[in-house]
Amino acid sequence: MARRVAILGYGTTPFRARWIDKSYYELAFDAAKAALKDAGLSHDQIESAVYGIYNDLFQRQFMPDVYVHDYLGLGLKPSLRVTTGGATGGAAVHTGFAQIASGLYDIVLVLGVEKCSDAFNPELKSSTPEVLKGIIYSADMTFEAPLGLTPAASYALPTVAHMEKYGSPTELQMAKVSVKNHKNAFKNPFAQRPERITVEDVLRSKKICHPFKFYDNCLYSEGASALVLVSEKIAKKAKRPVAWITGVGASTDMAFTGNRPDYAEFGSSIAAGKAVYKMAKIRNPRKELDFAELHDAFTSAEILSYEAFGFCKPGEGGTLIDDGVTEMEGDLPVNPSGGLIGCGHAVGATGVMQMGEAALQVTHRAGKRQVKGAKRGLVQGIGGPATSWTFAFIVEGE
Amino acid sequence: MMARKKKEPRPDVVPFEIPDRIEMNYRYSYGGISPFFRAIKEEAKLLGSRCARCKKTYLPPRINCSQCYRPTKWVPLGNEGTVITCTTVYYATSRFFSKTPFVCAYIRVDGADTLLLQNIILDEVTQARPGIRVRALFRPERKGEMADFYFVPV
Repeated sequence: MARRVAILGYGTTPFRARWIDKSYYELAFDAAKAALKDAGLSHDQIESAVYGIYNDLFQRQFMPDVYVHDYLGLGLKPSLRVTTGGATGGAAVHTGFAQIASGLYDIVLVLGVEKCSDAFNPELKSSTPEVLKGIIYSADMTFEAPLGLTPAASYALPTVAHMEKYGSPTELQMAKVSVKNHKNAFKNPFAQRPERITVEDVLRSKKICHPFKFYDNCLYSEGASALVLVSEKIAKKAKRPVAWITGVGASTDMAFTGNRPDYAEFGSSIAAGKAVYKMAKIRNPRKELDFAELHDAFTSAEILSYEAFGFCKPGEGGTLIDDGVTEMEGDLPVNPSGGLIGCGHAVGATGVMQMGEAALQVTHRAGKRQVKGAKRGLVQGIGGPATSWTFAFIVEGE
Repeated sequence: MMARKKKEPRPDVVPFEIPDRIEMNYRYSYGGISPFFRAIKEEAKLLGSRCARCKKTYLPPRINCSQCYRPTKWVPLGNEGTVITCTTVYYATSRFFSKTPFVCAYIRVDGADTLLLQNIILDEVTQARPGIRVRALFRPERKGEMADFYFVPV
């Protein structure tokens, strides 16, 4: 039987388009220091560290984790890096959870960090095309990357297949997700891009990759987020309520994505959802969850995830945003943090930030974005070609 | 939790940047699927691979059936197929920046069970959408790579 695992501390840097005055290990240090302070522990007490850092090319450094480990003063303690595309932060939490649940350690630091905007194309005088290039080396290099595939296309292709199968989500429904998440970000002091926009602004914004416009995309961000995960023995000594990870679910779908039987569904999220609900004993997620932090890399991903996690029937995700269910004032607020669209997507840090957000919500420390009476939330991290990986968690209060 | 300062803090240091670049050269072997790329280059033909046991036909090909754990056999496939899903890319990576807009589509080539990603070059009347029929065209100069061919509406 797995031991119980608590989130005792959380710290994050703000997410920004660029941290020009800090390197990746300096950002990591700021997040680790804040998480340790929140946990009331010193770095000497950390028994093991798990690092979520997605992309070596972004960092301009292969094996960046060993340098972070030294910089955090954790030399000679065990450490491990995980990298699973957009789901890197989620995978790091999953690994840290396993280290405590198994009985191996009692205090584990899970830290995600990413720099990307040092990547820069001197001819186009922009980071963006170079950042996208750094990501697309993760697509199948033999059959797919040579055709000009982009990260947006990797989400657009299943989105179009879903629209073909169900007639949804519509571009209007997708625009509403963008408006919501940009709006939610105003109440998150760490968010990169709070913005007051209308659905017309989204629909009129520059075409990126059909059906996505500029405002359907998440941000690319730099930042670091850290969690201190502890066993029940340590959690009991805490002087304030802690958050518990009561469910984990993980799945990896076919990454040669043309091999999938149904291109219109987020298979890995459906599978991870079943697993996480089974472990947390959740039967009716729509009723039993108080909020969710979903991986809105693109607006349609949030809507397809409503369906994958059983908030509604397949094909009906768009109606949840139409009916206001997932707004802050709705029954099941999604992405109180602002999500990847409003808060940002500092890839390795993202999943850690989402878990930290969930921990704040269930311990009622989320400030202005507090979901009233939040007891239980779902967190989802997805990554890889056409959402190959999903890591899902249930976070609960005392 | 870190308290965030009301205003964006000024950088503590005056940033000092240098241009830099990571480079790597390869002689990449296609391994077992070499015949697929050789057929593209030398014969302008598409080869799939079929499992002798479950008859699943792979395109992109595999020399092993991932369901049956048996070897597959090469089978010639035709040049026509159906678009399953597609998108138009308006903003691309550095290498493809000047080629936008272009279409990426998953195509089920007739006789294959899996989907192949390819570019579609459209005529002036056809829209890229799921369900349209397309035909592979091979470029006159071929290197043995995916960019050696593309699809056009039938």
